[in-house]
Amino acid sequence: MDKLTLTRQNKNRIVATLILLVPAAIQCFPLLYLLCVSSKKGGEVIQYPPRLLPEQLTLINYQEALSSAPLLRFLLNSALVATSITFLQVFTSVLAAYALSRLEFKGQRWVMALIVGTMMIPGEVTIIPNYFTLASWNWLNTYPALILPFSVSGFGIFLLYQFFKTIPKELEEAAMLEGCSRLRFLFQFMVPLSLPAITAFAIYSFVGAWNQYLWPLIVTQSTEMQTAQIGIGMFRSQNESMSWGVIMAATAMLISPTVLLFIATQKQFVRGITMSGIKG
Amino acid sequence: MANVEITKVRKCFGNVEVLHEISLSIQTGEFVVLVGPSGCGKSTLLRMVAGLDVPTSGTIAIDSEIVNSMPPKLRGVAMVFQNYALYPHMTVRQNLSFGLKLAKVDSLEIKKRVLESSEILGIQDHLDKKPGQLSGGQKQRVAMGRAMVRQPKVFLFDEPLSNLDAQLRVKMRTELSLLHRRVQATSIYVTHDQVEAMTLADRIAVMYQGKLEQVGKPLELYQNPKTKFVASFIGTPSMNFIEGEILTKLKPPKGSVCGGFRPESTFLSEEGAPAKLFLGKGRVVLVEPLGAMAYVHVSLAGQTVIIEAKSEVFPKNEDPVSVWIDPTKIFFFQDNGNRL
Repeated sequence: MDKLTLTRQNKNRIVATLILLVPAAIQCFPLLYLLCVSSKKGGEVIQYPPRLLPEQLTLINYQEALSSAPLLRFLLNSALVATSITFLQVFTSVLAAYALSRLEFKGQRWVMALIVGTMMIPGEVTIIPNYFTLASWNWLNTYPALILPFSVSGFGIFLLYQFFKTIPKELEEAAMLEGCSRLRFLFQFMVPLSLPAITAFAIYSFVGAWNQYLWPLIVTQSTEMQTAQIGIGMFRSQNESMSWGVIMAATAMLISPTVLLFIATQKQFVRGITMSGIKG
Repeated sequence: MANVEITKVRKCFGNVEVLHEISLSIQTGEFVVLVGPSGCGKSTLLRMVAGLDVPTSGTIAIDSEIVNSMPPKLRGVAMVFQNYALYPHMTVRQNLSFGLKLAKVDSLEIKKRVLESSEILGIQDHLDKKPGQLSGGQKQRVAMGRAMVRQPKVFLFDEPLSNLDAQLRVKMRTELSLLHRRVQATSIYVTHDQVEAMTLADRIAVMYQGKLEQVGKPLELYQNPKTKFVASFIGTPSMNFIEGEILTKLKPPKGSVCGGFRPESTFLSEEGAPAKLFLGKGRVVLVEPLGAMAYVHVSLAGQTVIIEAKSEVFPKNEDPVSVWIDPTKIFFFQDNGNRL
């Protein structure tokens, strides 16, 4: 009976894996194609009929990409902006989620509804008022302009609120009886116990910040302030004659931090999303 | 150690009054059990003593000092929770020493106290484990150890054994009783299990619908219940109640009454006990054999009476039987539940 069940379970798993392989392949193909094109020599990219794999692997496109544009500067800007946004969003979400899930105050439900409501508003709607506000403060083309408008996340607050709710109230009461303050409880108990959800949100936030295009395009003017995504666009428009291999190599370098981050933390990410009961 | 004085404490949640002017005095070193059905307000009362809830009116004094507005950490109380509330990301040692570190107790003293309490509770081999690696009984011991190391004035227990299986619960109950005898700490213990209450308590406070029904020593409550609720709640199986006309030779009470008699004062024959009173003839509906005795459920005039039968041969289901009771062990209650 056990063997029978096991075999059936195995069969189910194989079928499920095969079904999931199809969207996984569709998802991965552009990335694979990008890596292949970036490793091809100039003429090979446009040869007909096209070939997926390069005849001979080369890193020449990467060298050319690095020498023809300030890629490292773009990467550094993106890293600084994405890390700052992630830190700020995690910090503000932790504080707000704790207040909403544990403290009792008037209008608590309304505040929560308002925060959830912000998730329904497309980010593009706030671009113009944010732009004028920052322009009036002379903050355009600065790091604060790239970072501060994204320091709070409605999604982050909602995600952590859901997670904090699952932590037993008795834990806090026990700690309070022992003399623990709310702030200490938040950072010594809630944060470590919610690490899967916080990590998941941090990755989500980092990837979102790293991939921002429209806002950095509007508020930055100089190359020194531009981020990776703008860099790729600029690369394309300023180098019309440049081969696709070089553009793909530049793109591969610019997306590698987020891909590596996700690969390194995917277990935590999936755990955090499933444990909080929110699936994006 | 300290005494606890609860005076006319009321608690309202919105418009709902869950506790009605409760007054209870707990002496130094006494083990008082608050017992009652779910929703009677016993945990709310305990939480107010701990400082986790605030009374709507009335006062709570610990060691003769009114603590109504005092934060929990300054009250000198330690609480053991139903779900243990152990810090899952800390080791047992860290769980035990957390409160002492916050109180800035000297590190050598912390080590000494942690070791002492872990030896008393038999958890010294588990100090470097995390709560997730412990069994239910071990977790319960750690929760008690965490309360002990702080050397509080008052111990508060909120149904600490209810998450354990039946066997472990009995074992832990005995250990808790021995521990209290050793430490002699003032303790308030909340449970809905009357067996726990009877076996652990110096005094039991029976609560029902937000009121104190009766406070007294365990046997006093069993032998001399003041209300129908206490009579029905204390004792397993529950007391039998019969409503109807009362026969001669007994002091006839005025108005409508309810007669209560315990299963051990009810018999299936007239033999063996003096002055038995014939209650009526009935039919056996269920027999629960427990070895040397059995609880026999008899349907009698539309009501079910439980009889503690001590015999080598028990009746079978559907057997016709005669039911007798000891008239000296009958309790009479008025319509309002008070004893006559």
